[in-house]
Amino acid sequence: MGYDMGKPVKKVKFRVFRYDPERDDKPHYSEYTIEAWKGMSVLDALNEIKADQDPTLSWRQSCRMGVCGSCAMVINGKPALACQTQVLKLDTDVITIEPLKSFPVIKDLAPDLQNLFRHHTHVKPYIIRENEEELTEEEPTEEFLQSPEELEAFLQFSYCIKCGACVSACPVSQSDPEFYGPQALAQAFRYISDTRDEGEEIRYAIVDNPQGCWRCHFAQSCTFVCPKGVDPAMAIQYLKRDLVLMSLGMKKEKKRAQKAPLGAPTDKVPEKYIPPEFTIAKPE
Amino acid sequence: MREGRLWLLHLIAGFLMFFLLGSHIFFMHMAGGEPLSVEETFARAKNIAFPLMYTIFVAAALYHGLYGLRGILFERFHTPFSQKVINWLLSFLGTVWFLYALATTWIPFFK
Amino acid sequence: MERKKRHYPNFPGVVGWIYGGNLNFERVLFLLHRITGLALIFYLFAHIIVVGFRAYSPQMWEMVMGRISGHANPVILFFEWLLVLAVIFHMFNGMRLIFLELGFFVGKPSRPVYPYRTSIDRQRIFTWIMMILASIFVIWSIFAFFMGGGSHA
Repeated sequence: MGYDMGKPVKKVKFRVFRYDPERDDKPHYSEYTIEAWKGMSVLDALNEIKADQDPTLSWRQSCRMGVCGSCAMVINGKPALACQTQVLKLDTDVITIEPLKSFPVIKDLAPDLQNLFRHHTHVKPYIIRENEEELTEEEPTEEFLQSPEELEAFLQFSYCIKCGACVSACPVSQSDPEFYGPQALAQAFRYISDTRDEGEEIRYAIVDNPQGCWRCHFAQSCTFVCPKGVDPAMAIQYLKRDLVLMSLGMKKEKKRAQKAPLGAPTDKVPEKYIPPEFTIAKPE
Repeated sequence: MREGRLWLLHLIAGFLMFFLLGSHIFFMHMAGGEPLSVEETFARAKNIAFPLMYTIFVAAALYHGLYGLRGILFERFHTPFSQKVINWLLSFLGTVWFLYALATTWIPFFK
Repeated sequence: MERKKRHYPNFPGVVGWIYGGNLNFERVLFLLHRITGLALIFYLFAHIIVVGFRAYSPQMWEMVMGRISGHANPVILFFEWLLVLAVIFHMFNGMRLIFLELGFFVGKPSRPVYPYRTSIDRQRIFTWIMMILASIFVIWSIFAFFMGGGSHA
C-alpha cells in the first residue's frame, strides 16, 4: 500500500471487536499488530489491517477527514472519530476498538444508527415557517437577515455531523433506547434558537416528554466526546431553562429574523448585520 | 408542560431539602449529645414549628425521592400504559407513607 | 443450515451507569448521585416506618433502638455514617445540578474554534467548589460520629 507519509515509529497491537451475524452468536476480539507511523490515524490503521492482514474486517467510512461522521467508534473506551484519532497520540501499546455502544451492531464496527435518526427526525430538525410557501417558492424575492450574534446563538449546534458518539457516551441513552438522546435534543435547541424559525412551540411540546429533555441528568459525557465541539449538554440545559421559564410564564418573546429584498445592495443592509471581517468600504 | 412542572417541583423540593435535610442531619446526628427518650421527643414536638417543618420536609423528601425513582423506572419502561402504572403506583406509595408520617409528626403535638 | 442474520444488541444497560467507557469526571458524579439517591429513597421508607413506632408504640421503639441504633452497635454506627456521607454528597451535588440544569455556569454558545472550549471547562470550577464544600462536611461528620458526639434520635 502507498502509505509512506512517515517512517514506522513503533509496533502497536490492535484489539478489534468482531461480530459476524452469519457466523457468530457472540462477539469476540481479533488482534492485529501493525507498524504505526507519524500521522497515522486509527482509520489508516484499520485500512492497513484490512489490506494486509484481514479482508473480512468491516466498518463504515466515507470522507476520512472528520466531516461525514461515518467512522465514529469506541477507541480505548472513548467514542471518537477514527479518522481524527492519531494512533501515536493515544500513547498506548494496545488499542482496543469497539463499535459505538447503545446501537445494535450490524457487523464488526458498523453500528445500526436507525435509532439516532429516528430521534433526530422526531424533533423536526428543519426551519418551520408559519407561511410555508416562503420555503417552497421557486423564485424567492426575499431573504432573512441575521446578525453575527444571532448566528452565534445556534452556529455551534449546527456543526453536528450525526456521528452518534454523544448517544454512545450518554449514560441514559445506554440504558434507555427511547430517550431522545443528546444529539436530537441539541438539534431541537439549534432550531429553536434560530431567529428564522417559527416552530419553537411545536418543538417545545415534543421535547417536554417523559423520554425528552427531563431524562438528561447532566453527566456531560456527550460534550466530552463530541468531535465537533457541539456541546449538546449545554443545549439541553438551555432547553430545560426555556421550558421552566415558559411554565412560569416568564419566557421572553423570541426574536424573529427580519426580511430584506433578495440581492439588496449590501450598503442598504443595517450595519449590525455585517460581520466585522466583511466590513465593506463605502464608495467615495 | 406537565412533565416540566413535575421536574420543576422536583428541583424546588431538592432546593428546600438542602436546608431542611441539612438541619435535620445537623441536629439529629452531628450536634452530639445523648439520645433522647420518647418523652423528650414528645416534649420537643409540642412546639408547632417542629411538626410543621417536618410535614413540609417529609412531603418534599417523598416527592423528590419518588420523582427520582420514577425517572429511573421510566428508562426501563416506555409504553404509556406501563408509565401510567408507575405513576399511579408511586403516587399511591407516596401518599400512604406521607399519611403515616403525618400522623407520626402530629400525634405528639395533640397528645 | 440456514442461519438467521441478526444484529448484536450492544446495550450496556445498567452496566453503562457504572462503566460507560474512558470518560469524564462528571459521569462519576452522575453515578454516585444515582446510587446515593436510590439508597436514600429506600432508607427514607424504612426510616419513616421506624420513627413512626415512637408515636404508635413506644415499647417497640425502645426495642428497635436497643438493637439497631448506632449507640447499640458500632457496625450500625458505621452504616449510619455511610448514610450521612450519601446525604452530604447528594445535597452538594444536587445543589450543583440545580444551578447547572437551569443553565447557569455552562457558558453561552460561541463559535466552535479548535481546541473547543465547552461547558465542561466552564462549570468545572463550580463543581470543584461544591465538592470541596462537601468534603469539609464529610470531615466534620467523621469527628461527630467517631470522636465524641455521635447520633441520637
